[in-house]
Amino acid sequence: MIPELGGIKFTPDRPACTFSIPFANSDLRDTKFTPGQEKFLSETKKSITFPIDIEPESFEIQQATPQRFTISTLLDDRLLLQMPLEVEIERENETYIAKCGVFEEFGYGDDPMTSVIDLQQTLAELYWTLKEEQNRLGPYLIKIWNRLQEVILER
Amino acid sequence: MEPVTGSYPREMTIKAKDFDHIVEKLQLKIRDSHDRLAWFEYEGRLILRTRRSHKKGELPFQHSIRQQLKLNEDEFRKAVKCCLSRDEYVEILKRKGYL
Repeated sequence: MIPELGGIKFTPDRPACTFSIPFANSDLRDTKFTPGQEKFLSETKKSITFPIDIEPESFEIQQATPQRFTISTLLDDRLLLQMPLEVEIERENETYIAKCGVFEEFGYGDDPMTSVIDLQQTLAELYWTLKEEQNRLGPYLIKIWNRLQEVILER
Repeated sequence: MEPVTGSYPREMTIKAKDFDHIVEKLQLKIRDSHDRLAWFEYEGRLILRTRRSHKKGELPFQHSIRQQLKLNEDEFRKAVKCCLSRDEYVEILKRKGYL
């Protein structure tokens, strides 16, 4: 059974899929959101479609931040993500920070989307830099490079 | 490798100029991209990386910067105050298994 919340459908068998938030949809208007959920939906620019997924296990959006997502692209046409990456959104003052724990990398921005986009760009940039420098990486960055190679494919 | 642990006082903030002081003191190598990227090199090898935005003022993601530099709270505070030398930083990284 596909879990659904206010018109947002989650597909556990396709964790890398995109979703949209149909604010014009009448069934959404009937949905009661918590203040945190309202804030989150408002901050994600209301009616948009974007390549970020709420974790299939998260059947309810509990609060605005932190919020877990997965990303399925890196916004670099030369790179493919072989599996979705988990991202956690945190807020510090007016800035949103998107963190990818597996690579100990982060992105930031004035809203959640911008922070995720920044993270995607940063990961792509990290990939190319470590590839270029792969012959002189220290032990920690070798581990990061190996993880990147497990997850990212060049087209 | 030793994890970077401990509770972090979120109210502590650092500014872009503090980041630049750390970069200078620890002799990180800078490359400007969509952000200011800073790499710690030792004996010709790239060891760690971090970054900051080009904007001036407070950096709200100092917690992430600290983690990327593999420093605990006290060590990071010392670095922000420019009291952490490169040699001391090297010793810290050796002790934690990053060198």
